[in-house]
Amino acid sequence: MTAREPINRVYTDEPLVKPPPMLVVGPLAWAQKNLFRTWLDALLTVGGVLLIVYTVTTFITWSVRWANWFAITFSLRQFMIGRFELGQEWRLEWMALFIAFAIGLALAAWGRAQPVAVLVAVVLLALLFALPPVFAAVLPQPTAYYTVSNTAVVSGSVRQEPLERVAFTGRAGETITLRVAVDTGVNDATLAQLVGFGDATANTLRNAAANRLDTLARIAELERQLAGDAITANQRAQFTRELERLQAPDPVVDTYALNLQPVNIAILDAALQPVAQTTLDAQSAPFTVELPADGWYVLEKTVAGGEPGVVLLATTGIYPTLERTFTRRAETLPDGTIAAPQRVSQYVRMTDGFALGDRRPSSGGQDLVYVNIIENQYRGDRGLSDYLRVYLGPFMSQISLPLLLLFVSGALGYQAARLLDRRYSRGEKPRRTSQRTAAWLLVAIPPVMFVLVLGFSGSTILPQTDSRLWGGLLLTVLLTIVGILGSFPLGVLLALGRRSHLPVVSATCTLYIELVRGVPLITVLFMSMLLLPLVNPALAGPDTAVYRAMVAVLLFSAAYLAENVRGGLQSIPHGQEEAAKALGLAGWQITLYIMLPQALRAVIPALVGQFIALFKDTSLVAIVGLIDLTGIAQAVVAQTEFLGTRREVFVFISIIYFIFSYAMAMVSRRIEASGSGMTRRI
Amino acid sequence: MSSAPQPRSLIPAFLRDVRVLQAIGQIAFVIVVLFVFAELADSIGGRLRANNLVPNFTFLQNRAGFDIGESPAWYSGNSTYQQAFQVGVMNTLRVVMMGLLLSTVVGVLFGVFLLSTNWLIRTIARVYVEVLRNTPLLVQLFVFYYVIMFSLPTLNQALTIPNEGVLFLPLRLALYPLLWFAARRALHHNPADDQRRVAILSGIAAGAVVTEAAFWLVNNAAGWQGTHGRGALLSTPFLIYLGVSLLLLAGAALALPARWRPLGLGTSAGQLAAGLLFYLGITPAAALRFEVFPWFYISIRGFVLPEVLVTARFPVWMAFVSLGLLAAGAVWVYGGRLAETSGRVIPRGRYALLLIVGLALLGWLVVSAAPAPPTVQIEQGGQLVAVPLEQARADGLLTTADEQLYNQAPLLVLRPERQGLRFGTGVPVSPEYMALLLGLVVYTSAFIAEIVRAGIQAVPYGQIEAARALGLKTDQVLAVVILPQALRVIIPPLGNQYLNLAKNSSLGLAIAFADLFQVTTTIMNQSGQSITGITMVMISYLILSLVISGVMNWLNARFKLVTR
Repeated sequence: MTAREPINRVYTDEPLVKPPPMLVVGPLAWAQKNLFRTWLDALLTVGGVLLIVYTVTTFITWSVRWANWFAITFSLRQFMIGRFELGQEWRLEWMALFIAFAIGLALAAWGRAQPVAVLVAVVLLALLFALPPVFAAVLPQPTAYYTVSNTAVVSGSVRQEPLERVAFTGRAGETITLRVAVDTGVNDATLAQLVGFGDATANTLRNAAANRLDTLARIAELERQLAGDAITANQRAQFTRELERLQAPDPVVDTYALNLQPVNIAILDAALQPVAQTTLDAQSAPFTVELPADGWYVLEKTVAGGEPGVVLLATTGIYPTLERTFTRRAETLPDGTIAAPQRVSQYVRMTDGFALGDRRPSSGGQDLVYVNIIENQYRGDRGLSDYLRVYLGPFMSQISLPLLLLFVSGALGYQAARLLDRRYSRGEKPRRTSQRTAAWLLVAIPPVMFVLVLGFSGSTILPQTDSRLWGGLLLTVLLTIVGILGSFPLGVLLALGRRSHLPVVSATCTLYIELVRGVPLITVLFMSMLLLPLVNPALAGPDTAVYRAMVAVLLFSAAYLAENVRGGLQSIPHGQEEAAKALGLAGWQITLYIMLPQALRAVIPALVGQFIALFKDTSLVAIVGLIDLTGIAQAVVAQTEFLGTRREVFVFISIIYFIFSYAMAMVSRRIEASGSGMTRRI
Repeated sequence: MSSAPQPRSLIPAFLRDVRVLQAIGQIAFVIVVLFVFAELADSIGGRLRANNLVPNFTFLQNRAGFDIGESPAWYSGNSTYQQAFQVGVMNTLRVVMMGLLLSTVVGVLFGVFLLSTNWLIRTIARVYVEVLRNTPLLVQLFVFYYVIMFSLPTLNQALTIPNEGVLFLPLRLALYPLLWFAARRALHHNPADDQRRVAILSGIAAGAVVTEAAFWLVNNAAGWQGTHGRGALLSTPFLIYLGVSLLLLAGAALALPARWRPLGLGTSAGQLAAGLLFYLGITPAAALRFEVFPWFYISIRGFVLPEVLVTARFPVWMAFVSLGLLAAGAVWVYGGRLAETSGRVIPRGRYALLLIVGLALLGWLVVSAAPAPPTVQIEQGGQLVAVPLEQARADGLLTTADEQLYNQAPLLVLRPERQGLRFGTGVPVSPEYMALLLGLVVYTSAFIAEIVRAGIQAVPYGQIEAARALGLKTDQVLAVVILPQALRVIIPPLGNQYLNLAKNSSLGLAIAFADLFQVTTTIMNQSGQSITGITMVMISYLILSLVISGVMNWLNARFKLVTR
């Protein structure tokens, strides 16, 4: 240490020229202050960055390469409105537009639309519209592999017999190309990396090749471990036993004499008349066929030579389809008879959503095997091109129009509010007209919703819908709104009752509130499902299930609402009641005109919080068999076409729940910040 | 002004009295409520009687006839409904108790992260809290069960912690700390030679890093085998390495500013020295060989944890531990009284902890020192033969029960051992339990994190400033100033979240966990007694809620502001 300098020194030299303060302002300074202040901080930052990078890349890789997003794209209707009757969706569309309009108006009345947010929304919508055609134009079509064989293909316990004719759908003017997949059938390594749609036999070949390669790798690994010293005695015995058991089979390519023989290809139309035919072998150029009309076609494929063998065909234009059945409602025909609700079949092509209602071609009285998605899934490590063109593109084009209509409706509501204010509002309350209109519209949403969803029995414009078919997001929103609105009168009465001076009334209300708050919602749901039919046997059927669930949600929500309102009533200064009494108001007048308005205004944030909690809790009706959003998720995953798509479906509904809950939470925060709530003092 | 005569009211005075009206109103209310209940009970009762299902509690003694996935050994299909219900209650309590503990720990941790000065940690915690709070618990449980538990590997390829294999512990790992602390001691006497100290210590650190990296490359990288001790001074790679190191040394000596020169010199000299020692084979490569066996198995069939069993000597050890606890309690009380009256600082916490740990260790040593019996009776060929204990152990003739009798230690910690598809030892934990526990803990911890954050932020900042002005250190500020005031705000909503966790455990029904609600629904289905079943469930949850809120109220009373 140098000697201490005297403190009161007179400086005669020029002050030192220091470098610019890089670590005082600017992004580097922010980074040092917030991310790297201490050694521990720096370590945590590095750990955090690694965690984020790992999570994001894992999710994106999984999403692009392996996730089967068809489960979402082709069940979107189910997720949104359940099994609502075909042909009646227009009522729900108008309902959604009305709600969007009301929300836009409310936003203008009480808030302000951030220009950045609007810009981002417009850009996203533009992308949603612009990208799918770009993908379709720029990216190549995905490949679908079909096997032509005259022997069975075996892998493990799976045995696939040869299939000569397979039906597929096509549009007029589309081109089908077929060629022998020489690049894929070179050896086992390329066969194991087959990527694209493939029929069951192609999948079996692929699995056989992959298993063989895995066995070879495992044998090499075991030999390496046994040669070294880094294993325990137990492991040594285990590995030796395993090595004795393992046997590498012959190369799959050789076993099935892959791609060595020529094949006869014919494209037939729905009446099994040939449209085009040819013979292909490994050296032929790709064979192109242009389809004359919309409809079913048949691919007929046979091995031309006499030797047993398998040929792998790479095609574009022949893509798997999904069979979907809808319920068309019971209709009253013109002559007075009632047609039963019928089930209508549609065949939807997975790559672009092309839907066909025709019956499948048949031969010998039996429908031909068709390219269904269950056996012809997309397999392998998908590339970005196929992901964008086959999965993301169709999804975007499905949601672009509805989102645009909702956005336009909201924007119209916003502008309408501005217009109303400009014309009718005066002076110091510039937004009074729009606020009143917004309040009325929001109040009108539940009855309008009920009229549109339920309908009237005997009406022709708005026929009554079957409550068993309500599902998806529609049912979740219905249950939430009924839960909150229906429980309002009961909850307020309970709160007033609990605070009453009459001991019997107070005890009863307290008993109810504490009882209902002490048990889980699922118990109340089960109670309502099991006990209400005991009260009245007419309530036992599945058509009243939704109403029984609504009763349970209502009773449950009333207890929590009562506690919130009681908190609001307690927060009112006692002087208010005293002043009202001094003015000579009767008891009921004090409650109705003085206490309740102030109490309810004070607990609006808590009420919105309860709304959000109730929105999430309605997912529990999935356990009692109702098909709300969570229930639909379970139903979709149970379908054979989408077996094993749990992750994708649960990610999707989590995102939907999150978007709605977070939006409502933001609204709640804005309401709290605007001064409503118990922090307000009169 | 003369008073005008009052008009005679048609209602008698008796009925104009508010108290009478109130009494009449209440009686009417009671009559209406009772009437409604009587109607309901009548119609429900009638319908149940028609189906021959009169609600009663005697059906609980009937044979259950169903198996429960997670049940103790004494439960079977022949047990009664009452015993099945008991199993359900036990399962619920297992989940709830573990869940309360873990969610508090995780919630407090994330609450602290939410207040961190590190922006990244704060944002990650904020994302965690927002995502978990805005998704329904049922969806999260489905994800934990169907997505996460089902993606675990099968039993034959189970994840094991640690992986079975061989661990090589090199002997030179003992040298590094020795060198480090010896250098620190030696250089401690010359505070003026700060630079030399930095240089030497950084040299040792760099040398250690380089040696370990070199040995890792020898074992794992292709082409590096045989580098250790090659000693060929004219080979090209070695000359390149030498050249680069000397360049680095020269650069550190000449090009670095004075502040960084000791560090740079030390690092480059250290790595050069370590590299030379490694190349010339002077660094020892000997290592101890340990066979490592797994202690935790994780597979789709569930988790298997090590088992802790008590032996015959456990009561004696427990006596020592209880003695320690009593002594610690006495020291705590007496030390507190002494500190209050005399004003001296007595670290009674430290003494109490020392007493507990010390007596426990002493008890362990004393108990383990008592000799084991020389021979044990093993049944061989139908007769009891006396076999020496060590030989019996080596030959594997002792069962777990025998070990519990003869082992010298008070506690046995047994590793799970596989026997084909079963586990001979080890505690199995089902995937349903794990999924429910993880789902509840993660969900509730998000809410608890928000509560903790709000509680700590509710403490006025002036308190912290005053505490710092008084000279308190950060951990003292936290423990003595912030925490007591924050706990006042945290405890009521925390109690609410605990109640929510207890009630949310009923969602085990959705993922096939045999908690009390799931068992009761099975009972209701099989016996048809829905009313009694629902009543039992509601009473159980009410009791659970009462207990939890009772404890939280007691805690709240301890921490709340005592006002006049």
